[in-house]
Amino acid sequence: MPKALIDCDAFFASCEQAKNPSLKGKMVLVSGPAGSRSVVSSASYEAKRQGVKAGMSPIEAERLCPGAVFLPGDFDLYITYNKMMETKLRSMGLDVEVSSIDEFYVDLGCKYAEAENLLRGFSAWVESELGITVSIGLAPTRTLAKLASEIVKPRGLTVLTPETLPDSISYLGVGRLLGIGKVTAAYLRSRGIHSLGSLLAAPDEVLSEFGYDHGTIRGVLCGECDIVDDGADMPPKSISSRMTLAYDTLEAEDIAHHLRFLCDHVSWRLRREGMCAKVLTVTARYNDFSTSTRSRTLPYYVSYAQQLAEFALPLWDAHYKKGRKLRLIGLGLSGLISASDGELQTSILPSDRAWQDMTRTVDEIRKRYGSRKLISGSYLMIDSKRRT
Amino acid sequence: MKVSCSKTALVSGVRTVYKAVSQKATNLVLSGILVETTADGLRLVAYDLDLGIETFIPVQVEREGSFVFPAKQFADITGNLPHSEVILDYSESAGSVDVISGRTHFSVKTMPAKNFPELPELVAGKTWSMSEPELRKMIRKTAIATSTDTNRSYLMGISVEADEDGVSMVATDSFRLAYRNVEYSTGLTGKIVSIVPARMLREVERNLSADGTREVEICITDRHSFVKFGNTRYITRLLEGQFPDYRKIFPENLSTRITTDTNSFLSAIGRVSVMCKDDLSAIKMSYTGGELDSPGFLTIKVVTPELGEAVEDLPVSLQGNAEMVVSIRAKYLKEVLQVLESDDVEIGFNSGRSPVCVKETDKEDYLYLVMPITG
Repeated sequence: MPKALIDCDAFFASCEQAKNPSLKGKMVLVSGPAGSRSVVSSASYEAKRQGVKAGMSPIEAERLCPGAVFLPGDFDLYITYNKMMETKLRSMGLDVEVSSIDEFYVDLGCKYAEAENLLRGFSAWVESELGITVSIGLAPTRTLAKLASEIVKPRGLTVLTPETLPDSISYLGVGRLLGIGKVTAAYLRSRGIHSLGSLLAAPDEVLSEFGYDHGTIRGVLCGECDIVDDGADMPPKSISSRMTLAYDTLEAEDIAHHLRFLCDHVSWRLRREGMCAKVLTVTARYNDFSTSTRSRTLPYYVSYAQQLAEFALPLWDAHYKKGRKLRLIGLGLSGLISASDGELQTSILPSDRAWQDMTRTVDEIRKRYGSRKLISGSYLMIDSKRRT
Repeated sequence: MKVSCSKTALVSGVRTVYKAVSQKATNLVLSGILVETTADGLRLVAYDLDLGIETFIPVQVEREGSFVFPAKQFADITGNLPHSEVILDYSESAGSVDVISGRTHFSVKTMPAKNFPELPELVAGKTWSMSEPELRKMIRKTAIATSTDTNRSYLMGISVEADEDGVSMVATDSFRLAYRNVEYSTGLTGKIVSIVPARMLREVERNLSADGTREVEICITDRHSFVKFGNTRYITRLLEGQFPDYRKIFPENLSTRITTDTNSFLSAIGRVSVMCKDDLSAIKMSYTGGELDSPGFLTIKVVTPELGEAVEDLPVSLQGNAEMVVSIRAKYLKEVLQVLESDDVEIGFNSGRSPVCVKETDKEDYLYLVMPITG
């Protein structure tokens, strides 16, 4: 049965243009203010044509697009558009998995021609009703649907049927296949493997270096096996967050505020997933863009921000190269298990239990009114410095 | 320096101080044992700047002096000497010591004694004494609950509270708490509350005897704690930090009390633990009522999906609410049952979110509290 990946084109920027038609045709960038230290999270196609990419600094983006409109982002708006698309797809009787805020996987229980018609209808509805556009890939597997959705953008609909595979994609660059990152792609190119077609013909000893074999590659490129998990309910394997600082800093107090904020943010996401974690990772990126990380396996599973901070702050102190200015701080949790697996040992100490009771109350409020309705005091300290 | 002594005394002395030898010293002299002739005998000292141990052994002094013997060689050599008499002959000019026992001869490079740090001096402290078996018992019963987590270093110690009416010790790793109190006239004036590193107290306990008759002298100053018995003295820096207000945790009422045979309970836990993934796995306990006059059972169960499961019913007597189900880490139960002395143990429960209370039947001087597993 065919599977589709629906990817919204320049989603955040398109939503802003749809909400405010005066922005149509203009270079729109969703990021922090021009000249700020954040990154561009979405750029309209007008801005993309000038060379702007997601992840670029606003300073660089402004240089490429003088006069561009910088917007701070309106996540409530983006979530509303996402929900409307999901509702529409479900109303069409389709089996939908919301992969991210701007991507949907759809399993279609029909033939390719019928699936293509359904998807064209959806694409037209999105454009007329929401004022944004989508690019769609239709293929035998999720892996190939994802690949197909990126072949024609924006407003594309690319169909890869089993009859045309793998020839129909053999011309594509080797880095287009999910699971082949920049480093692997560069290595493969250095071995003369530039396209997916040449990957298919590559000797087994080259493929085995990446844990693949010829049979698996052929299976993936012919649409016979998938490397994207078919699991909307798969629990996360790790949860992390990172903050680019508003200013380079080496002040211990500033760093501690950011770390405490990240502990609160990441542990809230952990509890929201009903999980607890055993491995903690901190990341430091310095003002020369060099990055280092350090991990520690904790003596017990944790799920509260206060517990996490007790480990994160000393780990950071042992890791951070003092005297060097920081640009970014990251914090991640892995070694996750369900909190109901009988591993979560609560504290006997009244001070810890008071924190845990308070956290439970905060979680209830956040679940009811939204994640951002209650924030840690550390964030206020960060925010007040950002404003000055 | 030249001395002769018995091998037994020397081996015992080296073993006593060895735990205070620094294992990862940047200052090499701390990885050695100071050997010094004094009026009280041969003085052996190891000191890693946190813990110091000093002991005296009887010797015949032919020539006075002092040096630092590399600790590992000292222990290895003395432990393997063939004869009961040993001669240590130190040559300052050569910087080495000859160890002679019968026809066995070692010549070992040493370090100068002048580089070895002085032990902290005992100044303005409060001192009291305890009997050897009682101190041993107090440490054994509380040290099990100390933490190994360096993030909260103050939980790596035992909080010692002493006044004129007695002494109590309490330790917690934040998941369980062990408290022991002994009432007697200490002769102290005022109250002492200090956190003494469990590392030193464990070392003291290791060298105390359950049926010994020695009096142990304990002294606490502003920054250090000293423990002295026989020819040996232990010195450690006190831990800084605010020990938790533990009395708030002591349960006032328990809705369920179960009494059973201590050894049978420990054996049953040992058996079902075979199916635990590790010591931190949980053991689930629930009560099953008996018929009329017959006793009920405590059902102890371990389920590890990848291994299987084990169940054992243990005869118990119950007071209070029979609707109890609680999960506790196997390690936390085993460790307390191993240090209890009474034939019967009493386990008290409230709700699944409250600490479980373990104590010796009809005794109020020891309390062990442990948080159940949630989820």
